[in-house]
Amino acid sequence: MSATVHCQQPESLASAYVLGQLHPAEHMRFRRHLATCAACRQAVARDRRLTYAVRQTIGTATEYDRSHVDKLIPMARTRQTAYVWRQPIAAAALIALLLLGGLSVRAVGRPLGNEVTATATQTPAATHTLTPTPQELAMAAGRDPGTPSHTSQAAELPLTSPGGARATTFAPAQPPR
Amino acid sequence: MSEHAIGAGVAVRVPQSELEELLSRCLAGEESAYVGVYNQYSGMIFRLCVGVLQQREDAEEVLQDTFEYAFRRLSRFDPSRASFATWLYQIAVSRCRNKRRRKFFQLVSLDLLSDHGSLASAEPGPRESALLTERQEQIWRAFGRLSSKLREAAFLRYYGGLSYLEIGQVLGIKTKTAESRLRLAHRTLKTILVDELGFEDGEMDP
Repeated sequence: MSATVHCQQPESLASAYVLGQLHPAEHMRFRRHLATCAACRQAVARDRRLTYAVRQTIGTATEYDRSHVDKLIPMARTRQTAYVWRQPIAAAALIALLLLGGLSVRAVGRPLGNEVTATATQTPAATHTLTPTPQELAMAAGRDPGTPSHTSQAAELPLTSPGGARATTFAPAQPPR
Repeated sequence: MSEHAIGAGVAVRVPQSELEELLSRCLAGEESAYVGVYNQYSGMIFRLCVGVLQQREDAEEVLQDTFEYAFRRLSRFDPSRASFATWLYQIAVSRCRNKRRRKFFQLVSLDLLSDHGSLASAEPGPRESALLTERQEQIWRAFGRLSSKLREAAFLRYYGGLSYLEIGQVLGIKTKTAESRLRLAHRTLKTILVDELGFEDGEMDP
C-alpha cells in the first residue's frame, strides 16, 4: 500500500477506516500514512464529522419521553395478570374435572337407583366429560398430552383465554427446550 | 477487523450476571422481572423502530409487538448464539419489516384510489421537527431516503454501535454483506448531504 494509492483514492480508504472496515494490518498502515498525508487526514475528518452528525441526528430524532414509553407496558402487565389468573382457573377446572370424575366413578360403581340421583344433578353438557382421560388431565395441567384419542371441550376451555388464540399471555414458566 | 473507529454505541449492555438473573426471574414468572427487562431495553428498541420506520405511532405498535413476542418466547433465547440486545433487535427488525410491508400495501391501494401523492415520504413528523435543527432535519431526511435495508444497517452501526458480526446476526445476513451495506449507506449519505445539499465541513459539526 503506497502513499500514492492512498491519496488517489482517499475517499474510499478514509471511509473504510472510519467505518472500521480495514483489516488490522491495513488499519495500522493507513494510520501511519495519515501522519504524512494532509489530504487523507482531511478526508478522514470529513467522514468522521458526517458519521457523528448522522449519529447525533438519529439520537435527537428518536428521542422519546420515558414516561410515555413506560405507559406502553400496561398491555403487557394486563396480559401478565391474565396469565396469573389463568393458573388458578386451570387448577379449578382440573379440580372440578377430578371431582366430576370421582363422582362418575362412584356413580358407575353404585346400583342403578343411586346412579340416577348422581346424574340428575349434572348439566347435559357435562355428562359426557365426567371421566377425564389421562390426556384431558394432562391438557388441563398444561402438559403436552401426546396424541389424545379425543379432545374434550371441557378440558380445553380453562386453557383457552377469552380472546382466542391471539389473546396472548406471557408464558414465563416454560422450561427451556 | 477493527471495530473501534465509530466508537461505542448506545445499545444497552446490561452486565451478564444481572441479565441472567433478570431472565431467570422472568422464566419463573415474576412480573417485576418482566417490567425490569422492559425498562432496560424498551428505549433502545423504540429508537430502532423510529429510526427504521420514521413514524412514531408505528414504532410504538412495533415496540409492543416486539416485547410481547420476546416475552412469550423468552425460553427460546439462547445466549450462546447472540446477546439479548441482539436478539431483541432481531425481533424488532423483523416486526418493522412486517409493519412496513403492511403499510406499503395500504399506501399502494390508497395511492391508486387517490391517483396522486407519493409513497416515498421522508418528511420529519411534528415531534422530530420540534427536536431537530434545520441542518439535522436535512440529515434526517437524507437518512429517510436510504433504502430500508441500508437504513436498518446504518442505524445499527451509527447509532447502536453494533459490530458487523452483530449487524449480520440482527439482519440475517453475512458479515461482509453488513459491511457493504454500511459502505453504501455512508456513500449515499455523503452524496446527498455534500453533493446535493452542499453541506460544508463545518455544517456537519455538532
